[in-house]
Amino acid sequence: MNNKAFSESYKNFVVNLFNGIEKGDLEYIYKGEVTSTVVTNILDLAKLNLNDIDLKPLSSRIYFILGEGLQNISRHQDKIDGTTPSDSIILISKQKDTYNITTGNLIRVDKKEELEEKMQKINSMNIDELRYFARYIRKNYTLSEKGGANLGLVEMAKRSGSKLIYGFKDYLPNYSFFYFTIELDLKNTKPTDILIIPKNEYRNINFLKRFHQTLADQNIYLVFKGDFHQNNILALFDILRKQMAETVVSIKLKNVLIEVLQNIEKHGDNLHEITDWKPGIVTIHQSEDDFFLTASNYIINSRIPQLKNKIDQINSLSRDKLNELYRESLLDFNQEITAKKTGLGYIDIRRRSGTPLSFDFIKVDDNYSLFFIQIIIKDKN
Amino acid sequence: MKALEIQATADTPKVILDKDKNYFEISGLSLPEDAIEFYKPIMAWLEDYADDPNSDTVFNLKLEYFNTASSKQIIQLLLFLEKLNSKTNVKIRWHYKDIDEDMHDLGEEYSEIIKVNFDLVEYT
Repeated sequence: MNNKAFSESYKNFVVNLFNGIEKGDLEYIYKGEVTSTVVTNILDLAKLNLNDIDLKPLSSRIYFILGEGLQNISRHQDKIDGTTPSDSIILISKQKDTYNITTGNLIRVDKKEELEEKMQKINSMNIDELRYFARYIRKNYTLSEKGGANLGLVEMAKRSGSKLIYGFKDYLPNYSFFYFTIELDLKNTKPTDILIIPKNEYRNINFLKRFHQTLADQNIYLVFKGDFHQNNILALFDILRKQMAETVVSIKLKNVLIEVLQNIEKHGDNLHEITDWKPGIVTIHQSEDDFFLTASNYIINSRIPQLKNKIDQINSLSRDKLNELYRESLLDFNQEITAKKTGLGYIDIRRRSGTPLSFDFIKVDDNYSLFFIQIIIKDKN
Repeated sequence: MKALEIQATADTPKVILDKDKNYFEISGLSLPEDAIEFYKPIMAWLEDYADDPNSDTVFNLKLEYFNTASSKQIIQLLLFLEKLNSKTNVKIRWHYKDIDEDMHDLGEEYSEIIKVNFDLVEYT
């Protein structure tokens, strides 16, 4: 079993993400270089989720806030020696009553004070004052100056009705990470007079810093958390297709990802027998040219021995035997073939990976456990 | 015989089965939850076609990604074409992207199972 994948800290990280997960939740976390392509793709993903009927009245405001929040990174991040930093962070989280966007990007230390002043000024205003302020900037600044006057920040506060929560973390001698979070309350379609404090956990900047550090320590590049039904699966698949250049390894990764996600959808269990959604968490780690894909979902304890036997068996086979088993299962039309059960999933994943599948279980309670599986995708098997 | 044309969706491929133009193609993504349901009309069309096929049948498979649920349907389709080979000259053209090793290997593997003319066609 790969120790790095299932370290206690990784398992804790996932267990904490599962805590309080509810139907309809979706969290997309990205750590890496933020380019305009990345921003566009994440916006597309968010847009897909906005088709949700309950969000329709709010969709234009959500979209605006997401767009501004994301562009804030690509617009204001500073480069180090001409290179775009590769450890920016974007978190988009849709929970029952809130839609949240959190970002972290590198800025030059000399900008810190000015930025902080602007934030404080915005946070001290009520909605009417913000309205007036936004109008004032529009009228008195040229187009190029408006960015500098932080019209985007003013508009985000105004339209979300949320206080701008921010923090800094020193990075290199002349740089600092700038963390920023904003939230839209889905219950209140009309913002209140004064700005409210976000409810999500990322409002705690110390929590956010630790979270960012965990992603860095674990080499995590992407996290998908949520309800794995076909629409979300396709949206996630699509974003990866657009984001990752096509290479031998990335094609393999995408093939495995589809199988893993559909596996959660088909075979994952849910706590307390709520059957109409499938919570799961998928993380992608990158180390040099290799990828590690780790998926976790709930499983009913009584199903564990069978699953364990199946993966152990697949892991024990030589390449030739594995190919034989693949062919046998592919051509087995006698068994009850439902769209749900082909018997091919793990065989296919193991063949593509070329290395044994690591897996583990953590007991949740008398009825349920969390199932972890990790697939290594290497450039050369 | 009426052609079968299905537009591609986010999780199903584009399909063209046209006897008059003698053109047969399945291309794109095949990731449906219910693969049996999607491939049903395709198999039904081919069964009708089998009654009076053209003298040559070149079948193009140009899939970018497909899930294991689809692979089971694709192999059934290929087995059906193998049977058809006694009535029409069947040729499978299995297209794969040059950097997609897995798609190439799957083509090779399927060509060993299906005993008909089977070309692996590389594209960029």
